[in-house]
Amino acid sequence: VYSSRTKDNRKLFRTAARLTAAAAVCLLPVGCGTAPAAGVQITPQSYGSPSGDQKAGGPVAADFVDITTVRPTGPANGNGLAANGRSGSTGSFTTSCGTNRNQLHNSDNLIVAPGVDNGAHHTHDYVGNQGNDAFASNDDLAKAGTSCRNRGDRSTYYWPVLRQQDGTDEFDAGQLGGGAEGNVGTILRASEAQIRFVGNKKGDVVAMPKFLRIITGDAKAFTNGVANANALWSCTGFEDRQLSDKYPICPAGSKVVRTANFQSCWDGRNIDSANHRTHVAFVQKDGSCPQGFKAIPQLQIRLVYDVRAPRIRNGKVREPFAVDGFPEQLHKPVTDHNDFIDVFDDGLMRKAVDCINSGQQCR
Amino acid sequence: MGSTRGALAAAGIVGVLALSGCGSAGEPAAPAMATGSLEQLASQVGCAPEIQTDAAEIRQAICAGDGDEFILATFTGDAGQRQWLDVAEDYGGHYLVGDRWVAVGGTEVIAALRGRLGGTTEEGRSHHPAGGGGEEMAAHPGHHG
Repeated sequence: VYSSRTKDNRKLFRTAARLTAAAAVCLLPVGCGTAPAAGVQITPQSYGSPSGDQKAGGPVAADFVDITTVRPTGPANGNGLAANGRSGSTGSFTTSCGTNRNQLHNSDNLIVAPGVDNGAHHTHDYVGNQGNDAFASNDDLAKAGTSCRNRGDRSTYYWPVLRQQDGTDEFDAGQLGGGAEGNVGTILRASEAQIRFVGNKKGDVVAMPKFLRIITGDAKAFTNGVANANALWSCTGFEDRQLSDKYPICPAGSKVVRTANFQSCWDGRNIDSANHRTHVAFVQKDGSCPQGFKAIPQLQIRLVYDVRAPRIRNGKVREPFAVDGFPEQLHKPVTDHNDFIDVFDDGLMRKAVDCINSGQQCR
Repeated sequence: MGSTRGALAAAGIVGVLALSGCGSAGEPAAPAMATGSLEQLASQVGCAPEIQTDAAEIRQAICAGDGDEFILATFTGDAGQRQWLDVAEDYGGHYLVGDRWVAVGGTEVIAALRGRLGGTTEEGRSHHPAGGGGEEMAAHPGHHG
């Protein structure tokens, strides 16, 4: 006996999972193939953890800092610097792909773990391409729908969801990737998800190759160390102050901001590498690319959340917000990360590059 | 399934492999580990590979049948292969690991592939709820963390 789930079935299962989380009780991953609920993988021991008994494993009070008390800083490890400035290629291309209003989530990671279905130990938000799952081919991505207003952008943009640990059970409360692994509480939808491509302050950029894969940040930075970390947390009105290893507590009226400035230097040949990192590089402090790399448009993603500031009393944090992550990473802010596959039509990529190199602000 | 996928019989890869001598009862004896290019490995299991990534360090394809799809990747270096596996296995999954090649898919597909290609099976990490006890790391050698 083997699973005969098809790609279309899997999508159906996921839709069902979103809509009928608590009602799904089929515990057999195979054998009830005609019922949509069959794909909802629920392990008996983890199912139905009641509200108020959610175990997150983190974050702790020391992971938060009042943004008004910190000095302006940049990323501590030199990753994630903005590549653009007043010189070089000063234009930009902004793509409007929404805020995942349709709640497209899964716990796969097509770049890092292809073929691992329901695999990742955290839940992602997807905007742009609507067909990203563990077995999506380049062809599937090129043919899938997109949430982007410009239909020439079928790129997939995905990041771990942010949650408020408020005792609420989400659709994934009992599932691997969700509540069964400490990713608990209300999934917060960003109030803004700004996605733009900018230039390089040292000169022109060249087009990204189609299907270029970039992962930025390190979901395991808490245990791996910060070599690949790229997390920037701040608050609206305070974005000259960026935190790389703390969550901000924003004053009244100010919202939480997650920023990802991607690697924007490319080796000129490869859309991926064995460790998914060495075919691209971050710009150096002066905006230049390392030897052997050429500047491509820099993807800058800025997510804004209208989230209740956590309360900290007697060294304990109540109802914190936190990124989804691997359980042993304890939802540390340094583990924030962001993933991208370029699925621009050739014509649109040319237009974006022209805008950037000619100093125009396009959308 | 998309018509552009590998041209496999409706029986699917597992069915094809089952007919070829690796029975479903018990653990079949694995042959000597296969070697070769991605295309050569794919042809040994009757897959028309859909190439996704053709990069210097890694080539990666989808072999698709009727629900039996799996990923096949080849590497130019042992270190790159191990790095690729280490990050992938953090996300769970079922793997068949050979000499500079890896297959990823469901457990049945992986078992059937092993009957044709040899190699060693590896399981990705599975996590327990945070605070709910230790963490299981089954057959996950060489994890760096």
